[in-house]
Amino acid sequence: MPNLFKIERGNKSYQEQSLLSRQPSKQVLHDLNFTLEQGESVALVGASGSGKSTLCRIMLGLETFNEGHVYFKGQSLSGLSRKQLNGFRRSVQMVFQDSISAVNPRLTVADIINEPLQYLLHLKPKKRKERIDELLIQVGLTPSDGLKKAGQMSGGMLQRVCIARALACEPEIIALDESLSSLDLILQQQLIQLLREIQQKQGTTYLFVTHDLRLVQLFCQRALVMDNGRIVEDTTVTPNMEWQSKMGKALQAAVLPVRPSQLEHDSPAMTV
Amino acid sequence: MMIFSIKKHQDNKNSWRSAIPNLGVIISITVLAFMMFCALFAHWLSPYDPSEINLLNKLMPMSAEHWLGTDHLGRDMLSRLLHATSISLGAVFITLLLMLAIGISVGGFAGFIGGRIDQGIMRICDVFMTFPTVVFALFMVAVLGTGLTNVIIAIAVTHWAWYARLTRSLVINIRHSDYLRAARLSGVPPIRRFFRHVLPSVFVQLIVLATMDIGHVMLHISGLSFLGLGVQSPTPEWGVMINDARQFVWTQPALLVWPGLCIFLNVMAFNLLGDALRDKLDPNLSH
Amino acid sequence: MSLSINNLSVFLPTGQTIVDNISLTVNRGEIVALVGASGSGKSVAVTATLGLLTRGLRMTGNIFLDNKPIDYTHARGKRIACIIQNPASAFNPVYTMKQHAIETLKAVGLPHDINSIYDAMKDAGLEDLERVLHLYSFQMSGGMLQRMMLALALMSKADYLIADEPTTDLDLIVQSHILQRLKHIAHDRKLGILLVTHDLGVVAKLADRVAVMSQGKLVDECNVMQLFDQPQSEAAKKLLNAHYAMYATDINSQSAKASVTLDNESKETTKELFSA
Repeated sequence: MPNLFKIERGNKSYQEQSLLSRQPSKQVLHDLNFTLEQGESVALVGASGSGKSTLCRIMLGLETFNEGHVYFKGQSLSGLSRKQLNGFRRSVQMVFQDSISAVNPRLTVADIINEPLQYLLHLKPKKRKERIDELLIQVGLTPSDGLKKAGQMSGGMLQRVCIARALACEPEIIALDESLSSLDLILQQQLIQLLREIQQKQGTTYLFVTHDLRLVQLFCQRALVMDNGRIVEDTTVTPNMEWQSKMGKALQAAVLPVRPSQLEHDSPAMTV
Repeated sequence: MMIFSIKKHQDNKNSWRSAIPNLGVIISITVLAFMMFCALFAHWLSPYDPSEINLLNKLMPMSAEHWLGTDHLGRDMLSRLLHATSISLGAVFITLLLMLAIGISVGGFAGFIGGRIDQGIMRICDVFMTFPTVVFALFMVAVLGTGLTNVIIAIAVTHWAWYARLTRSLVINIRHSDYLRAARLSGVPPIRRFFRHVLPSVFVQLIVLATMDIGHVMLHISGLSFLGLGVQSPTPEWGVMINDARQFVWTQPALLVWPGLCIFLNVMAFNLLGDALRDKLDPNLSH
Repeated sequence: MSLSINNLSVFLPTGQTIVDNISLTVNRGEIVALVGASGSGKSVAVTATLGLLTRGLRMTGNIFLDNKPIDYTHARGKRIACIIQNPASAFNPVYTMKQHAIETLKAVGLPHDINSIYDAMKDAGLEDLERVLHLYSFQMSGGMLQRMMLALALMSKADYLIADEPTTDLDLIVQSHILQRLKHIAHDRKLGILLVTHDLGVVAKLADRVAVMSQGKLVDECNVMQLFDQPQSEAAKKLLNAHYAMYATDINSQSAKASVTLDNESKETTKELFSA
């Protein structure tokens, strides 16, 4: 059985465009090689600028490597026909970091969730309506919320809508690109609860792109640590684990403490 | 214990400030509706034929027969103004349409395509943006002759580049937005993405700017006609009418005042409308 | 020596109350955290303290600085500095950092002394100071901008600092550095810091005292150890539950030390989360 995802010699650089001169290019991803198996939830961790979001977008087919390949279930993502691409999109979906900019503010919530149902599943209008209501309830909203305009909703509610949109085709993998970090703690916890339920009911695996190691501990079996566009550590996630790479250690040290330390004037002892 | 008494001050400020845009919208819409009505029904509303010359009746003041008097050739002012309204407003809208059509297509294409072609198109825009309108109009007239068409072309040619630039940057912003990526992930095909997600917000912002530009365009058309480069007598047009009336400024100033007033009211109405639209539609400004 | 907010209330133009009669004191040298879920009114309370309420909002109550009533034109920026959530929006894109620093010093009435600028920047955790002073805001990362904003606040030699969710948009490593700097600054420079946050991890790391807001009211105010060990209000308990739920592995060892009384419902939730 082929791996779910296989990345081979992936390189990505960005180049500023100019009419007459050649601008220097900036390489953001260097020689990436790894595979992901079915059923394992994986975290891509790293500080900002490490390239993890870019890698995530490339794996979702939104951007491409300059050199190298991405294979999904043995098939390369470049040169897919429209039909094959739709099949890929049905299996792999994404929730973005900022829910407010991830939706067209002029559309209603129902319109937003309708798009994948219409273009990826080609469902009939009546079936679509039923599925939209089903999805809204699943993420903790109500069918009447479907009529609201996206521009009028709060960030927390919109993130639920985005999760509903990602769930529409019952994908195998959902990528979450720092999707929880801009929400307040209580909202984060509610969404974590929701994601857990989805995982239990549908067996969905997650690709967590994050810098928060607490989330990694909560959801993932495996973590890929990225630093300056390279993968510096590929490890299984265990409770109370010791990270090997410099970046891993730095992220671990940066995790906020569970409780205040007893010592008042020194730097707080790192707990988790 | 001090209690802050900014309460009263703020309340007054609020009501004063929020009254202004509403008043502006009401005035502008009233004026514009009236002007559109005149423009559309000029033919039926005019009591006389605007080019009917009657030298016996020349330079008459306001009277029961000629509500706004007559000009130096005995033509009825009211009829001339009504027809001028339709010509001026018509010309303005055609010019605007032309500017937007060229600007959106070129700018939208550049924004979508990116890369060297985008850069090349922007340099061409730079060139067009440096042309001063009046000079270019003189050039057009010298080459192609006078007439409203040439004036419209001259204005469109010197103004489209602003819209192209704006469209391009709006398209580029949207291209990198997450919701367009999300639409791709949802399987929405490219053309549909363009019309459903990209065009609406681009269009709205452009319309607001275009509305504010209408006054500017109107002044150009009237100005160029005043200079003799655009509409020619006897066709009624506000700028032409002002030019014709110059020699009578001391004897019959009304001849200057009416067309001038028309230009003033229209430009003001469009500017107020543009302001109101911008306040209402620009998401950055809303609280 | 303290900043005292007394009976502060903020009202919408419709008359609805968004902040309901809160009173809070921040002493120099201590860090007070103002926590609450989003919508609790904590950001509004803080903008009211700085006299920066949006048009249409009305406030009552008074602010005392060192036992004297405040005059905003003399206090804001000079006696009370502030740093905000989105650092990029705090800078004028056409000015360099040096120009911002000079403007800050001028506004406060301090002489343009390059050493005090360097000192403030070092305290804020910046390096390569000469180079940074010549940068524009769009050339700097979020973390650098936040540190620069902190440096500007320090330059003004204000005695109090209000920090409104200063690290929410930053990655954890940068966040950790900045919070560390805030702690040192409070202790070394004897600055009184009012820190608004929704993240109890930040509170655990930094705060000496905590005030909890819920739906516009101040529902709890206590020492930080007390908040984590014996939270009194429902709002505090809810926040703590959400906070503990993020730490999958340590809940058993940590809560054994603490005696947080989770009500039955949240005990179930927590159990469920960790058994999967």
